[in-house]
Amino acid sequence: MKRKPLGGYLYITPLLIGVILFSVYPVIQVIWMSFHEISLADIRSETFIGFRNFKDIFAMEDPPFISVVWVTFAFVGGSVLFHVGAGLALALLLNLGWVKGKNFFRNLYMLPWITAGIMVGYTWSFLFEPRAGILNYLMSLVHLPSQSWTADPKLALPSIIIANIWRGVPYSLILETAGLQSINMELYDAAVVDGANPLQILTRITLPLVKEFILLNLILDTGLTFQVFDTIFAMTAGGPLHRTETFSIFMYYTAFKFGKIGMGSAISLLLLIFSLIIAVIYIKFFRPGKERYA
Amino acid sequence: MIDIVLKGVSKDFGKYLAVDTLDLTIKEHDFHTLLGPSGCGKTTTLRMVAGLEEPTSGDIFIGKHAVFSSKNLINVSPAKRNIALIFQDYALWPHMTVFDNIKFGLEVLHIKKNEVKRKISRILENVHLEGLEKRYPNELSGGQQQRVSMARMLVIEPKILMMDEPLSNLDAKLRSSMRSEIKRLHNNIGATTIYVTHDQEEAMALSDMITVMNNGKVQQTASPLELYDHPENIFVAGFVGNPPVNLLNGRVIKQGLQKVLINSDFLGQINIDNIQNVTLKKDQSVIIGIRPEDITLYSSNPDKNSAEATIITILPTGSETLVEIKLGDKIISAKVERHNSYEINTKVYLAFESHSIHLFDSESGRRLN
Ligand SMILES: Nc1ncnc2c1ncn2[C@@H]1O[C@H](COP(=O)(O)OP(=O)(O)O)[C@@H](O)[C@H]1O
Ligand SMILES: [Mg+2]
Repeated sequence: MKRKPLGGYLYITPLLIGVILFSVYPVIQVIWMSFHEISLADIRSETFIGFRNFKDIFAMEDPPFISVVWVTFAFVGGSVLFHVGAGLALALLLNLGWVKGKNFFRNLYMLPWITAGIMVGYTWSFLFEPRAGILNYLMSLVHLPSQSWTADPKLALPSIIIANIWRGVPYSLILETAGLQSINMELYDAAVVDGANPLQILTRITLPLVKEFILLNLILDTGLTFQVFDTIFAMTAGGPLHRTETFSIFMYYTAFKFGKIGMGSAISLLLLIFSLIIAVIYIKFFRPGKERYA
Repeated sequence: MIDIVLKGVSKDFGKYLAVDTLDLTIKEHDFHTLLGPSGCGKTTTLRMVAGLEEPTSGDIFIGKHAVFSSKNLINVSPAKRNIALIFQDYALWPHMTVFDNIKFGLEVLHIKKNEVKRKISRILENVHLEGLEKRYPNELSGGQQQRVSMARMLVIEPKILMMDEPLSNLDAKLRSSMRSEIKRLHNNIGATTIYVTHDQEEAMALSDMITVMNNGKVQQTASPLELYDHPENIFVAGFVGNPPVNLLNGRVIKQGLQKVLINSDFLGQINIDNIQNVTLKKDQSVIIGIRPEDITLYSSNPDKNSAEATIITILPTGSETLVEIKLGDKIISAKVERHNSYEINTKVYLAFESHSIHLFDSESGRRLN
């Protein structure tokens, strides 16, 4: 009997339409717009200008492009490092046999993640508030001087990073828990019988076996953190002095405050390229596939 | 003597009692098998001896020392019990090569590098895995994985070996060749071995001693032949032996000195000697067990008391032939010589020696003779 390939395509058609409509088309649209001058005021007129949007971005002085890059990478790097680190540590803790109330804590830790980013931003703004905020109150208890946190050019970036860390840890916790629970318990038993201590079990058995999950966690979390907008916008709106202006904030101002849609698209495209480069670096670093196992 | 002794060991998982006040002695150098149906608590028992599962109550000794005692709050860690284990699904570390899998236990013991190399290459040779040391577990066949887990167990030269259904994932042919390899291995190194299986033939073939378990309880501990010839209760009689023992209902007619006359369904009156020290009431119901090989079939009535039956199936295995016969409303089986002239739907007459009968109390299931 001859197979009819048409049937197969029919089954994936709904998904294919979804992917094209919501993923492929927007990306192509963004690429196309990046090479055009489009202004918010007159959105119908699109003039092809080649690489000028990119040149303008690199030549920008207020804020300098390099500052946006640095702020973004500090924000993403700090957030992702602690998300994955703390998420993995919590997941390991909540995976221990003797810990009671695992499910209660696992659910409790989900709260920050299901809270809207803008709410997270406002909540942390209150905590960081110079006069009424609890943080300065705690500082005063140990006789440390008050800080203006989100208004301080030096402390603003760490402040938004802390808020974003708080929000994103649950995501990693979930992923790493899934990873840990995929490990057959007998693999630990075999090591225990051999006399391995907890540290040896962690480094020789557990971590290598969740490696793939850590990699996935890094890639997904990096992508998500690059896009964080609401929390930063609610806390600092990119200030003071552009010290918290990440790609997403920068893109928003360019496209919607200054009305340069084409240039905003070019910024998005750069962001996409950065994300891809980093994903490739992660994958190279972790070398999955070198160890072939199911 | 480094015997392994379990005294009153129980394990409950929440409400479920997986192992129920187990008493067990495993002699040094013995190949001792825990045999029983799936879910009867074999793995749990093994894991408690290994220290991977904490008993709810009881004491476990390895040699003179208690390795676990619920009263004295002793719980020696698995590493200090000098055991090695093969898990049912092998539990090979998937991210390590064959070599690294075997090496792990030696590294933990801080054995010198060249010594490690020497030991591993010797063990690989022993289990016929030379040349596969760079492979990952998922690149090996089931039989090869089994050998790796064997090598991993043997390389640390433990005093006690434990194997949890190590052959159950292999195909029939490989299983029988591994079976003789395991037996040879045990004869060579003489380590005390606790072996778990639900396969009674495997248990019979390998073991010095067998403990039959059911519902978390020990049913009987005995040598393979003792178990076969003198099952202590109906469960053991039914579980050990393939094809299984034939069971028929009967009633006590009268008890004499160390003997009893019973009336068996379809077989008539039977006189059974060597009755244990029990008092049987008239009309008490009993169960009569006869192994298929203890039944002789005749095509004509050898004496007029023989029971008459009809052949319904003939199953030759090559080395012998199994015949299923209908006796009244019961179907029982008999083993006959491989060359025979039986035909289905023909009449045969049964004969058996009364001393080959296993007599059980139908209420308690206990053996009476
Ligand atoms: N960790 C556990 N939690 C709950 N029940 C268990 C656990 N381990 C085993 N059991 C139960 O205990 C009984 C005995 O299990 P096991 O010792 O694995 O039996 P076997 O090895 O003889 O098949 C089974 O009914 C099983 O469901
Ligand atoms: Mg089992």
